Amino acid sequence: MTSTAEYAVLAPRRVSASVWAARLLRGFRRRNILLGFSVFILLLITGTGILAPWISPYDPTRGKLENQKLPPAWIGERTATKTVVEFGQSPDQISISKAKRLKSDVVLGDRIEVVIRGSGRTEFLLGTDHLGRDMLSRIIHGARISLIIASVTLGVGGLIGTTVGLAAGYFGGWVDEVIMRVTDVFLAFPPLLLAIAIASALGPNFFNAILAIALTWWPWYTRLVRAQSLSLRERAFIEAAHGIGVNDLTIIRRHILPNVLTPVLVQATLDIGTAILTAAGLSFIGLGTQPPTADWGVMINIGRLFVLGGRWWIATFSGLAIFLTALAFNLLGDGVRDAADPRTRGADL
Amino acid sequence: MQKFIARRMVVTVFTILLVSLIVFVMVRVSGDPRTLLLDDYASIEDYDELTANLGLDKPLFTQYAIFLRHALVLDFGDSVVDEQPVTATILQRLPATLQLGLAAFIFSLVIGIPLGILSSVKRDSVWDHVGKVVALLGQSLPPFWLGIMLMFFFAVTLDWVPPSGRFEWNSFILPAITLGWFTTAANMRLVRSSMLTALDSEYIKLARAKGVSESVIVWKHALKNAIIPPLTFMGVTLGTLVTGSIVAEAVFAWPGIGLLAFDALRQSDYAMLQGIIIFFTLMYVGTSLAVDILYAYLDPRIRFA
Repeated sequence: MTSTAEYAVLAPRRVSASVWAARLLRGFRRRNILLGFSVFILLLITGTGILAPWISPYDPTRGKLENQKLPPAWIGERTATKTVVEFGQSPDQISISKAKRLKSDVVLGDRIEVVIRGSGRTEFLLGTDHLGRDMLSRIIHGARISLIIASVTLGVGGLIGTTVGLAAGYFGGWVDEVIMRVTDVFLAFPPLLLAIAIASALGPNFFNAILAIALTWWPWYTRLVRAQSLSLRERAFIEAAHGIGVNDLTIIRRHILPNVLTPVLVQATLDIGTAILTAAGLSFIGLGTQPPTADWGVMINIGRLFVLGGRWWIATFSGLAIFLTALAFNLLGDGVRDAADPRTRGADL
Repeated sequence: MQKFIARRMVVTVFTILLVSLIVFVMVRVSGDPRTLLLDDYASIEDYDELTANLGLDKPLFTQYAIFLRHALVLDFGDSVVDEQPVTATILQRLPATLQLGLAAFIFSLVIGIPLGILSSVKRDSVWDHVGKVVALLGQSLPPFWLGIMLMFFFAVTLDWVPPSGRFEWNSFILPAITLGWFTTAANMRLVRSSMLTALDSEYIKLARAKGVSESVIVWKHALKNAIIPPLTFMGVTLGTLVTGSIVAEAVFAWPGIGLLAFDALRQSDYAMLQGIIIFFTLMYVGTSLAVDILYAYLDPRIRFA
């Protein structure tokens, strides 16, 4: 019978946190600019997300209509010369009644200068939306929503996936067969479609969007964890643990789980960007967070209606926020993956 | 081979059943259709009659069986909004979605594959960097935002193409880029990494040692093997094109099934929504089944696995 001491020697050495940090740092040096940029953006976004209620200049859900659709602070006013006519029909005409309010002595046929868009104001740095709400405040609060959705989604999805995957990989046999066939079914159709079906079945709101995305996400983790624990199960240190009479639950908890956790965490880091995009997509089509909550996807959906009128800032800044967050997480994910697995280093972006 | 196909078919059938179950539950929990269909002056008798007509007096399991029987012949009832048969409306919108999907697919092949080849052959060149940026943008750009930004620059500001709708050929450009963007980046990454693996393999070294010209090595020896991973990925590609159409069509008011789904979601038209979700699922699992079988025929390693 193998003694405990011997079987401890057989166990693969777990990489300590300091080695991890060193590898990540080495990665930083290698891709200095990109990783540095991503960490800067992430700190910025996480910071604003956490401190949102204290740092945002205005209430994100309240605005004054007199401030509506103001452009960003650095944009000047836009004017156009219009012909005064009886009833304004085309964009280059203005009705006499309106013109009279601007200049009392106009007559039909005059050409006058009309302000078609006010200039930006310094108190609304990124402009305001159609209800006069400050865009900067809404984007700051949106960071909070976005980060919560992404982390809870991956947490729930990862938890379900890891548990089920451990069961499938460790026990094998019919348990494995049933679990893998169920994941096959879940993986066999487009994730967004499943999320749409689930979210509309449960009713569109913040929590159901999280649940819907988590439910489409777990099979990927199940596959990953199953493959890992399948090979671990055959390793000598597990057999040794069996030999000295350690029960299944303890083996899974003490020996298998710690060894599958690294790939799961790496995968989760790689997935955050996609989770943020998926959540924003659900909000955009009206199945996620509901107005008036400041959610980046909702803000783009509102903003798209004003783009045709040249009011680009409502959609632009919230989209830029999603883009930068997803980009930063994807870059970080690549860095973490490289630190965890030297073979993929520089293989592709 | 038969076993592989049989297995895939079983999974496909269960997938469709699972979707139909979700859709069935979705419609049941979304509210009582009787309150929508009857007005305030309806009597108890009207109410009972409608209950019987809709089969709501039967047990849930029987209701599901009836739903499945109708779904088998693609009968999803009438839209709550315009009271037209759901299937007819979907079929009428189908050509627009297929055309856009095809345009996006072609865009992703024409841009993605050559860029992947270039960036793998000329490593660390300008092309390689362009390829890396495209790959990163493909993963990180929200497609709906990309669409809106393209619309703002090329349609509103520059006025080169129409901002929305389905008219002449130039109205295809922006929606196709929006829809195909993710796929382009994915194709590029897959081709690049499988080309790098292929170019590093022993048979390429042998070909080089024999003095085979570089163009023959790249185009004949390496590419032939490197093109298989993107082919397997085609199932996933088609899936993203199907679901991506909801967002792309919504942004550009493209009159296809995606826009129909977007409108149905906003109007809570669950009859329409269940039809579209099942239709999309059928389209997707059907094509990915076909791709998998085709792939198994092409690659003996799968056939005999």
